Amino acid sequence: MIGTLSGPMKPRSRLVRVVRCLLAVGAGMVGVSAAVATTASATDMNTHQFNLYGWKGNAGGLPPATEVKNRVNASSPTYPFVITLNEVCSNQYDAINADLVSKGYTGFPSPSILFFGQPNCSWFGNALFVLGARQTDFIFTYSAQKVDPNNENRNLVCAAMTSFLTDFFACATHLESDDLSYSQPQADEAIYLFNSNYPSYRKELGGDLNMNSLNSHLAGFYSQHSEADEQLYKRSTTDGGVAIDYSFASKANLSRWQMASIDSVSSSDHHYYRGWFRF
Amino acid sequence: MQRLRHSFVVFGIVAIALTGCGSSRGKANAAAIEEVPLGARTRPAVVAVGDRLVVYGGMTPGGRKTEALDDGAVFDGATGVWEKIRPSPTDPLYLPAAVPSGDGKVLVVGTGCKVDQNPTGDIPACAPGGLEAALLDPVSRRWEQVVPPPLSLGGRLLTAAPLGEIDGGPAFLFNDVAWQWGTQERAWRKLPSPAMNARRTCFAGGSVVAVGYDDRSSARDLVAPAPGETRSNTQPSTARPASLEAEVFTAGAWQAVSRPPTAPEAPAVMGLVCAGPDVLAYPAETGKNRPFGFRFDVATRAWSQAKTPPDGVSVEQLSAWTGKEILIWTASGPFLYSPSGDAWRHVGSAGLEQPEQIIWFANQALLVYRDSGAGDLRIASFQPGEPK
Repeated sequence: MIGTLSGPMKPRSRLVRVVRCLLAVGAGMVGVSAAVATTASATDMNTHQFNLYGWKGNAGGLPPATEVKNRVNASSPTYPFVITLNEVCSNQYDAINADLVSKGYTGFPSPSILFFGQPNCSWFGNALFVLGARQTDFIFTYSAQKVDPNNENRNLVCAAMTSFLTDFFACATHLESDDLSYSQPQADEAIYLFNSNYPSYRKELGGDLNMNSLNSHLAGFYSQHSEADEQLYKRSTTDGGVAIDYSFASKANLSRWQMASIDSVSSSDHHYYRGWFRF
Repeated sequence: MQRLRHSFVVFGIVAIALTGCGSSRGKANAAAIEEVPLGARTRPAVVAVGDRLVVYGGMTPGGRKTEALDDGAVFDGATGVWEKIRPSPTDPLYLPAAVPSGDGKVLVVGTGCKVDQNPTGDIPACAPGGLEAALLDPVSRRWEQVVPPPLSLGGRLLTAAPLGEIDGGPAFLFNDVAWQWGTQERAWRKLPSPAMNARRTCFAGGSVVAVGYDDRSSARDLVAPAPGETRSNTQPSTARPASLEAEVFTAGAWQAVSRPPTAPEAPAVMGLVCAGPDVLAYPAETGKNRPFGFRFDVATRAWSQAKTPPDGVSVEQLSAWTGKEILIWTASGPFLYSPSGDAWRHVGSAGLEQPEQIIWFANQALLVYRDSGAGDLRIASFQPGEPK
């Protein structure tokens, strides 16, 4: 089990837990913070974000995993630096991982339902793939969790990486759907952890945040990071016509050089979302 | 069988260029089967019993809200005609599973799903939610509701998956637990759990087989962090053996099998395919230095080394036994493995995409699709051709 079910936590205890997480992760960066690589000329990178609709729409079937593999293969030789995935079944993760490992990615599965026990879906949740070698990684289970019969626990998975170009910190998350009383405090915790950890690293966070870009709880992201699409005129990322998938990259050392590519795909009710950044 | 082939007329459902796709040796051949007289759906239960093909239920495609269907149709291989069947006496079933019951009928099982109480969520919450079961006679097309297995997970999602017919009764997996319907006793019995930690329980060689291995990828996450707790990635970076093991359910008990004589190196994940007489286990990671895999012959209970699969073959599980070869449909198209010759071959897809399901029926693979437009159910037949 990932933790226990709980309602929204008191502010003090939530802060204590976030700080505890921050301290633990921060310990991993001692001695490496000065190792940020710099490049003489601009380097373009791209990010992929995709909610696979892995169980509800595909029952653990492989079509959305094939979509990811094909998209990554099609981007050769400029593979995406970071791939953030939501609603992933174990079977789909295995299929993607088997293909991406040989391309130099490290995969970080992050179950929100650890013992789902379904055919093709022994676990269900998020996944993060980053080019390079792992320095450290963590999964943070949000304090505010909606009671769910399947014990789904929303989480944030992050990894600090050494790549051939630079040190990098990447995160993936999927916030509660259709209930802002849970998704907003989850966003607050995600922002705090993403902004506070590895301040000197280049960063990217991708995910299905289940809220629109003008929600005040995303202000902490927008103030410090570039999002792959335009905030005020952010385009729909789902078949339902809502814009809830994001790719944030740290403004300090990354800039958006092209608007996001948003492609409708048959295997998911979310579109395939690609961000284009330059550092 | 000849009449069935004649019925595989192209009705314009699938735009396949058939010209030149003859049944010449070594060349794949595809055709669209007559249109299934059912509305749009995904993941129906599809099962062959004798010369009849039964298609039952499924889910409406697209959208967050889960809507289960309770209608179906039977294809008569002798006449080449589809006939609709009346709705089952059960509630509409979530992801229904069907297995021949050994007496010419088909047992259909699933979770009753009249309403999805979690219409916007990631996982459906079916109501009324308990398992329901019914027998269908594909000849008379009559239903008979039977008692479901006495299994409940306190509101958690239960999904049925077909295993196969063993000792005269159909067996299913409900989540990870195997149950069998006694056709004579007309009662369910729970199969004991294998001694090992099974990675997959499947049906091969006429038996239920449990296969396990110690992987180095997903397993690290089985140590769950507490809320807010951080933990390091414990994924080992060095190679270690795969520790393949298997048990076969026979005469009411699990029988352990000796391990392969040598183990492949460092598979992060293994592809496991259960089809026909064999279980195939091979490293799923593609790329250079991919080690060989193993074949487990269920009849002889013997492991043997199997040739390294081509790069397109990864963890795919869409497979069918053709009578001579194991057909595996991957994202790169169809591959065939010959157990007798320990040989892989990649055949053309004849314009067909990766299906939702494969079933071997009347000497051809039937590929079950959801049309990417309206979501209509379509079934195409595929003949991989003989090896050269």
